[in-house]
Amino acid sequence: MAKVTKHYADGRFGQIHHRRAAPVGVSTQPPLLLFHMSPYSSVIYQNFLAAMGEQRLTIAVDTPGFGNSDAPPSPPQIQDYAAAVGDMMDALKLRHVDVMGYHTGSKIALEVAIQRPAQVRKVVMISAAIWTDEELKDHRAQFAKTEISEDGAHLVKWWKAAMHWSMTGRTKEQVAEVFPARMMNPAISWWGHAAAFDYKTADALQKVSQPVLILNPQDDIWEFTPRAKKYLRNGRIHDLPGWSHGFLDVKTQEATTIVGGFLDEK
Amino acid sequence: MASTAQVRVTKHYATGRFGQVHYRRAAPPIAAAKPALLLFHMSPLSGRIYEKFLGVMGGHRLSIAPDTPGFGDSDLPASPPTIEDYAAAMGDMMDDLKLRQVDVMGYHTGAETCVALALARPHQVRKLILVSAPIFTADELKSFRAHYAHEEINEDGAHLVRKWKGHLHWAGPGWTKELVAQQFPDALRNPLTSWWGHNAAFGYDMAGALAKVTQPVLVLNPDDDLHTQTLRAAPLLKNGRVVHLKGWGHGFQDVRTAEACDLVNNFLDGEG
Repeated sequence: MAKVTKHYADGRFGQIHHRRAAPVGVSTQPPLLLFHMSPYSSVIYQNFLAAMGEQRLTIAVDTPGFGNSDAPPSPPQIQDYAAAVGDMMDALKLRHVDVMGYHTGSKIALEVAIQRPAQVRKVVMISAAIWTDEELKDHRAQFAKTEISEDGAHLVKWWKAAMHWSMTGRTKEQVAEVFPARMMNPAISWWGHAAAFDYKTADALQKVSQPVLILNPQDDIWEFTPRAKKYLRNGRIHDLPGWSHGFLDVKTQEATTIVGGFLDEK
Repeated sequence: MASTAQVRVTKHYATGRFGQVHYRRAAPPIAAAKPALLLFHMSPLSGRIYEKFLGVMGGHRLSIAPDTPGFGDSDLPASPPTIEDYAAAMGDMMDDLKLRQVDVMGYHTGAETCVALALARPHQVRKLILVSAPIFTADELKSFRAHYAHEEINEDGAHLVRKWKGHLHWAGPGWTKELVAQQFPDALRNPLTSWWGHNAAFGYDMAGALAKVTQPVLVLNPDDDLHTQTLRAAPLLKNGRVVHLKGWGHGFQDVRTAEACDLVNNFLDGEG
């Protein structure tokens, strides 16, 4: 396993915190950038980084306003998050990269590929949800700002959702390890979902000419991802039945093999 | 009155014996001719408790609030450390950042780390500010150890509710539930090892250590969960005093930021 270290880079919204792992020797592969779901942080990639970092320089970013990254002054769009990622690429002098994202992070990955077509080689998306207007309305209500309550009801609601959608084999200790990132910045942590629900994923997919691999675990948005198929110009959907949240920890090696295999394809 | 203008707080990593040490930092636009002030947090939590305080204090002097190893974003030691180990890691950070002389301020567990650092580096630590300086009786230690032992994680989230209610219970006047919620996630980090901080604090001979400190010490004693234990520190101080912060409780560095900075500045910038 490669050692995971943590760092800061500068971007348009301030400091961008990231985790990093790299092989001991020189890798000829482009670095892989990883973007997390909302809310959470790059902590979800801790084990995946240690495994993938043996193959290539791998960097997991805290989206601005999450984890330890500074927050934008107002609710951003996916385009703004992607632009901040571009700032980080410049600060770290990363000329050529592959990108991978999880839920909201998959939309950021897609948008980075659109904003920097000459610099992004391949795209891995964990889910690529396409919602109808009706579904969007439901989702917006479900992921709106949660009030902090004296009795801790907000914590129980978040915890139960995390446990409910965890795949078989994910322990409560593993959930507890990443859950603090779920609770951070509660006044603004709804911004990530708000940006995701505003993003036109179908339109964006049609603009991407780079190879795209969509992984579709059987999680809370599994039914919305097959709709992405018809918009893909150069990509495929890989269903992961029986996998759900926590697969990066429960199925670390398998996930690394699937992603590494796609990135290394000629 | 001191200026309450806010300076920018930035975050960084340094290296110490247990790995990366994460810290927050704020400094005047033009470097102050004063020692840097190091700020150590209570268990568990992180340097985030000083976020607002740093914004004001950083206008007066270079101020640095590290996350104790195993808390916040600082790497975890390999086994449960002692207060001396935490202090040694803070010394590593001083060396890495080339800080020759410092003042130190610590909150609960962090106060003990201040004392251990002052004893380990007597020529480099100039003055100490201790937010509580608890001297426990054997009976108290037993009940505190039981209260802060490793906690189970419950399927239904009951562990979160217990902790949340504890934090709200001890929140001082004016520290709203929204402000508590901003700090609370740090109390839940590294859930399998977060008891190590309290474990180290309860294993430290604070009375013996405090009696050896020759540097000037200001003990701030809010009306919090260690108020009674801190009253016992007064006779042990060679060169210091205990100030009762009547009506102050946890969160005072957010709620009474300007007053707290004035108290600290007056002590650090005054004679003796």
